[in-house]
Formats: sequence, structure tokens, C-alpha cells
Amino acid sequence: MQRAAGARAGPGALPTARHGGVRWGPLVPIVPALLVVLVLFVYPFAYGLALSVHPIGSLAKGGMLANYAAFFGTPWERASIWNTLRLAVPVSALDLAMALPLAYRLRRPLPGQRVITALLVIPMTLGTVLLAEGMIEFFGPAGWANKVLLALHLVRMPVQFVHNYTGVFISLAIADFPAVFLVLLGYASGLDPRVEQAARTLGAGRWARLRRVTLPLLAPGIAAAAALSFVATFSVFPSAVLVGEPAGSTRVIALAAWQAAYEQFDYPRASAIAMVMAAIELVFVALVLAVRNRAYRGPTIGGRG
Amino acid sequence: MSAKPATAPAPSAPASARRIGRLEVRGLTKRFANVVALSNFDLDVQSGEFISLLGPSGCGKSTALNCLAGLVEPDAGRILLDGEDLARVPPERRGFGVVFQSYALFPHMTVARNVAFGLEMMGVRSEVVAERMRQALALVHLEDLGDRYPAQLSGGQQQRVALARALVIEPRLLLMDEPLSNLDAKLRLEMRLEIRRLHQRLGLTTFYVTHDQEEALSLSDRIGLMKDGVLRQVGTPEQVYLHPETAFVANFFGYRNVFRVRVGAVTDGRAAVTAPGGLRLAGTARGGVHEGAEAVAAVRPEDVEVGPPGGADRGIPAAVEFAEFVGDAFECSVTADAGVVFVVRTPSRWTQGARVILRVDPSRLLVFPPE
Amino acid sequence: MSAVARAARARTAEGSSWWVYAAVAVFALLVLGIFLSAFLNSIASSWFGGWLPDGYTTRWYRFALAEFDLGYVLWVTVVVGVSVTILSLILGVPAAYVLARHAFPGRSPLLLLLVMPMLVPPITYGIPLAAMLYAAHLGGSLAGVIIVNIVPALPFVVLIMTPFFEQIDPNLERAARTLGAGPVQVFRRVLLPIALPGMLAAGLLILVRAIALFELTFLVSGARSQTLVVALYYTAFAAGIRPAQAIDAMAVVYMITGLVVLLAALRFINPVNMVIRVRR
Repeated sequence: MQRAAGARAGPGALPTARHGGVRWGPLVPIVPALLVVLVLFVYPFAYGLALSVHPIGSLAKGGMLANYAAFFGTPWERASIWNTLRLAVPVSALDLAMALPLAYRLRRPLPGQRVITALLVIPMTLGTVLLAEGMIEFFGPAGWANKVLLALHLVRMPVQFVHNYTGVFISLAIADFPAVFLVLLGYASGLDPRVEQAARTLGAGRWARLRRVTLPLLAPGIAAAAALSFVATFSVFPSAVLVGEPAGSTRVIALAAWQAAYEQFDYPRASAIAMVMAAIELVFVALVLAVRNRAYRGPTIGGRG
Repeated sequence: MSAKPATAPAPSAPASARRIGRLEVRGLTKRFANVVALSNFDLDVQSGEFISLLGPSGCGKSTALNCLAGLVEPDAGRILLDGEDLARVPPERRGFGVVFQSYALFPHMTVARNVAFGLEMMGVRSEVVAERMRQALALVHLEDLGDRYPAQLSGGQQQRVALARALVIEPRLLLMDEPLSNLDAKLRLEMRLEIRRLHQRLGLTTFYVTHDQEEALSLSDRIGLMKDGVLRQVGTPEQVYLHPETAFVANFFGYRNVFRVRVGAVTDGRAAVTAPGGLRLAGTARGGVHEGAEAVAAVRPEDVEVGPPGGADRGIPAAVEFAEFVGDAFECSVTADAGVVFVVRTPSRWTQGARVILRVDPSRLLVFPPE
Repeated sequence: MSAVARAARARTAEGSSWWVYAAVAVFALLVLGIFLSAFLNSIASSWFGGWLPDGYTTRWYRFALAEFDLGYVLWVTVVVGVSVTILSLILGVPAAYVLARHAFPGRSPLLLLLVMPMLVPPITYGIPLAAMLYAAHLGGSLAGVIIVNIVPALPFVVLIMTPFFEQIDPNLERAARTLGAGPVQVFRRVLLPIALPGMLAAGLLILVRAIALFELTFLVSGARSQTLVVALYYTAFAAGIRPAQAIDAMAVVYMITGLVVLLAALRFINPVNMVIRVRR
């Protein structure tokens, strides 16, 4: 009753408006966090952007966009975008496809629930480097994976799993899975089972319930998981170096940026590559959100929303 | 009792009131975004008085209470307690006790800690805290539950803790915001008696907000009726029940038959009105009803008499739509031939479709100016 | 199929969940295989071609301890992880409280700004940020490493704590105010104790992430401020100079550090609550 119309901060929002204006006093606690983000994130980002349009060295005469022109004009550099996308997109898709049914089923208790979630979440602690080291042993020519395949006569020669695209793919898929699963689990457990029961009493079969009720309600979660997963897989490069082929098919864009900065000490060019990364990333997030908004844009939890 | 210092409470009334003098609320106004939640709210409250604010959801009654508590800062207006303006004093320095609809018990503290909280904030010595806490819990019959956590209590018990927590600080004014609406019907009745008993015993000036007319009628010394942020009428329960000043107040107190009418002649407070469909009725005019103007007529279901057709008396010919048994009587929906639908209360069951004649006592049909 | 049979099947549809166990088993076996490969190699005196190592030893751990200065690296990791966690909680919790409790113009853009560092790859702002820190003579220092790690940690606190504060009944704060508590006392006596589980959850998650975060630390750390992941990357990158078993030994130490923290986290919090839901 005392809640103001138009207060959107949530069910507990305290009205802050007074005289049609705003009392800024209670908002002061947000200032330190805001300053940190401005100084350590927004400013460096802007600085990088400014740096990227001031080329140095041989590119100095090429005008403001010389760094960008050089990046897109060199097939070897340009290829890093493709190298990254063909890892990040399928890995995110695969992890979503695997995590979604699991999260959906685990939203309600199952015997061994805690152990199952722990098993699915633990790879978070492995870290890309341990994963890479272990994979070099496990998937190596004399590793257990090949031993099993040979013993089962599924292959005649050891398969090369590492130091190529496959190695990076497997490594990213495992490292990224726990986060995707956790996000989806959070949304799935917010689903009100009565909504699906209602759909059932209205004659909706399994498929219809999934397509018309469950998936639309989970759309915000799927979008969040997809965006986070893409950010993670898009920017990680240790695995591309350690279990990939960093001089070839897995020379990802993050590696290109790092090499420009720390091997050639060309910060402006590195910044330009970083800006390209940010642009691609934001385009992808925007796409995901656009698709989500076409599906459904409300709370996953019914009732109070 | 009012002469005694607050630190030496009478044994019979452990959380005895520091009697306030006069509370005067003047021109309290509060606007949220584009909604006027409270408009020019004026109210005088006497020491020891139990006053209720009654109205539908969103009428501004909770905003009024929150302004009094200091939880919402009014845009304009004054809250004078013995002449001292409290409108800009922060809630922690007002010394008012507040009972919330959601109880708002601190979930991480035991019942005892909850009750002691206010005393600790006041810097009361710990032996005194323990004693006053014990007395407050005894007052609400929860002596044995001091070590429990709120989550381990029933709704009614939680409400009692909330009461004890507000009372223990010996508030100058007790504010209650829909305290019973989260309870089931039986508990609600029980707690209503409890609140009544505590008020009689402690004599605390109490400001009570509710949307339940029965609660307001049974508890209050005076009732204020609110709608759209405006206080429409203030009076004793008898006054507001028997002599509503507006159609809104009438409707709130059981005048369930309300319809728009056009006023014919007005003589000696008696008004002849025409309802939709040309139905002519005689009623009692309230202030501001003029000949030829639009008006609102209202009558209670029990004030419409239902009889069989025929007889010399000219009544309103009508047909029974349906009848519901409501315990001590039947409530029938009856459609006059002119088209107006009446809800009537009758001692006997009328069968569906039965032809009847309705008679309305002109002294019971109130005619109000339109709002 | 008869309607009855179909109904019977529909009823049991949700019940059959063998595939959950199967999927989890495959995933867990894969991860376990990878971990065990690294682990067994780290305690193998040598391992040529067989299913299991030829013999066992602890010398690789002793070697790693001495050669890689593992003790110091672990200490750096702990200092960085704990400092980042505490600092981002101190910065993020008040911000989350304001976002949860107040409706004000510009709230949504502000929330987006605070969450933004999660949505762009760390490299993009990390390279200029590193340049900035080197210019401020903080590059390569422990302080520099802590500062950069706060950037991705802060959004996490905001994302976890904002919904947490939203679900606390605002009347609790109001009740405390009417009982004589000032704003500071309300925060200390009422909000903080209630928010503690949420802060613990957020803190442990940030600790896990701060230990695992690679790129930003990699960009600013110097020889004396490497965390475990970065040190590990350098040794693994320079593989061939040092025995692979010693690198594995270090990786196992890293894994166990992270695992301890994660198990602690799972002990205290239901993973469902670790979730991030963005309100719009």
C-alpha cells in the first residue's frame, strides 16, 4: 500500500522519491563500488580505445584506424577471430545442451543429489592448466583414453586428441560446464512445479509442456548461461596454448592480443585487437538477449514477479 | 498512573504507558511518483485513545501510519506531540512502538533478544532489560518461549512477540499496521480480544490501521475512513456505522445497495429520487443534495422489506434471482421490474423466480451527493 | 496406445532418471581420469606405456617445492585470494544493499555498469589496465595483482547479494528503526547477521574464482607476485626445461587448494543459492 507505483527495485523497495525529486543521501554506499568500476574498468577501457586509434611504429603513418586495418588486412591475424568463434560457439552450445536436461531434472530432489551436484561442479577447481596437464597424459598416445580405445579394438592406431583443435575443445567444454550448469540449476529450481501441473491438467503432453511452458520460462536462464559461457570460452587462452596448436588452428584472438602486447610490445595494436574482441563479445550478448526477448522476458518465478 | 515516573512501572502494568498529551496531525501530504498517497491529512488524537484508520487497499492508511512512525518522510505537514513537531525526527528518536503486518521479527534473534532489542538500543541497564523483558513476555503469555527463534513459533505466537517487542519500550504511541490480517479467522478473533485487553490495561494511545470494518468497529474509540489518500469521515463506531456522511462510508459499512439517482423535490430533508429505469424512491437527503442534481442512493440489505405481491400498498414489483443461506437469514438477489438489482436480507427463503414486492423505508434510504 | 497406458507412462516419465546418473558418471569418469593421470604422474618415479606407473615417489613434490618456490607462490595465492574476497565484499555489499532497497532514476544502467566487467573478456580492459598500473609503479607488485582481481570479483558480489537483500523483509529494518536503532546499528545488528550466509557464499565463490582467474593476474604479475595458476602456466609453457612430473605435482597442489575451498563452499551453501539471477 505504501509502495509507490513505479518503484521497480523489487518487492522490498523503499520509496526514495520526495517532492518528485530524489534523495541522494541513502545512495551514498554505492559510491565506492562505482568509483572502482569507473577507475579500474571504464577508464582502462576508454584508454584502450584511445590507444588503439594512435598507432605506433610502422603503422604510425596509416591513420587512426591503421591498427584495425592491419588486423583485418592480415589473413593470419584475421583468422584468430574464426579460430576463436569455432571454439567458443560450439563449446557453449554443447555445454548448454548437456547442462539443460540435467539442471531441469535436478531442480527436484533425486537420491544422491548432493553428490551429483558436487561431481558436476568440482571441475571448477581444476583450472585450465591442470586440466591441460592431465589431458596431455590422459589423452596422449600412451594415455588411458587411447589405451581403452585400443583395448576395445575401436581404433587401430592411437588417436591424436591433444595439441590440436580437439584438445582445446575438450578442455574448454569441461572447464566451462560447471558454471553453465550452476546458472541453469538456479533458474530451473525457481520454476514453480504447479505451473507445469496446470499445463498438464489443461491437456499439454510432455513435448508441449516443454516447448510451450518450461523452455519459455527458462529462457532468461538459458540466455544468462549462454552469455556467461561465451565470455568465458571466448577469452581463455592457456588451454589454446597448452593443449592446442597455438601457432596454427587454435591461435585464438586473446592470444593474438597478448602476443601483440607482451611479445611485440605494441600496446596500441594489442588494444585494437582487444577492442575487436569486446565488440564481438557484445554483439554476441546482444544477439542472445534479442533472441531471449523474442521468447519471454519476465521472471522465472511465478506469483510475486 | 500518569503521575508515576516511567522507570517505576506499576506491577499490574509492566509496560505502562508514558501518557502522551495531545497528538495533532496537520496537513500531512505524501506523493509517490505521480500518485498522491496521502492528501492533507488532519487528525487529533486524545491521550489513551484507540483510533483506527479504515479503508480499502491503497487508500493511504498505511502511508499515514508510516509517516507517524517516521518510516516515510511526508512531503508536507506537521506531527505535533504536545506541541513538538516530530515530522522530521528520525524513527529511532520518536519512541513509538510499531507492530507490522508481517511481524518483522528479527529471524536471527531469539524471542527474548527480539523483545530486549529496543531496550538495549535505549541503553537500559542489563538487569533492568531482563526484568522488563520478562514482564513484557508475561503480558502476552509467552513467558516460556523466550529461548525460541521466531521460525519455531506459530503465527499467533509471532504476533504476540511483535506486540511485546513494541510494548516493552513503553511507547508514547502504539502504531499497528494490519496486525491481524496474516492470521486465520479463529486466531484473529482471539488476538482481537487480546489487543482490546492490553489497551484497557495499559491505556496506550493506539493508532490502528485495518481494512476490516468489523475489527475497526469492535476495537476503536474512533474510526477514520480513508479513500484515495483523503480522510473522509472520523467518528465513533456508532456514528460512522449509523450516520455515514458519504456514499463511500455507507458502502463500507454494509450499505450494499448503491445506485446513481437523479434528485427530484427535496423537502424537510426528504428527497424524492429517480433510479435508472425510472424507478421512483423516497429517501433521506444528506448534506449537499439539491433538486435536479445527480446523487447516490444507498440502503442496507436488511432495510429492504420483501413481501408477496398484492395488497393496497404500492411497492416495487420485482422477481427473485437467487437466495443464499447466510446462517441467521437468507440473502436474496432481487431484480426490480425497472431493472435495478437489490440485495435483500429476509428471514425466509424465497424460491427462484418468485414475484415479490419490495418496500424501502425512506428514513433508511440515504441520498448522498456524488463523490 | 490406450489412454490409460499413456497416462501410466506419463506418470512415470519424470521418475525414470537413470540417464542423469549415466551422464554424471561419464562426466565424472572423464574428469577423474584426467585428474588421476596428472596425479599418478606426479607421484610416479617413471611411467612408460603401462596402465599404471612403474614406481612411486614423492620427489617431484620436493622438487617443485624447491625449484618453483611453491611455498611462496602458495602464500601469494592465499594473500591475493583473501584480500580480493574481503575488499570486493566491502565494496560490493553496500552497493548491493542500495540496489536492492532503493528505486531511483538510473538504477538499471547503474546495475548494468556494475555488472559489465563480467560481460566483456578480461583481456580487453586488462591490457590497458596493466599499462596503467605499470605507469603507476604498481605493475608486478602484489598490490597490483589484488587491484586487478577486484574488477571481475565486484560484479559477482553485486549479482549475488542484490537478490539476497531483496528477499529480506524491509520491515525488519523499519522495526529496528522504530525500536531506537540508528542506521549504523540497523546495519550492524540486523542486516549484517542476516546477510552473513549470503556473504559467506559470495565470498567462497569469489575465493574460488580469484584462485582460478588467470588472464588479469598473468598480465600484471611480476616474478614475486605470481599466483599459483600463473606460475603453473609459466612452468607448463616452458615444458621440456623441467620434468613433466614436477609440473603435475604443482598442478595437483593447485587443484587441492581450489578443491578445499569449493568443498567448504558446498558444505555451507546449497549450489542452488550460488546462482546469479539478474533482475531487470
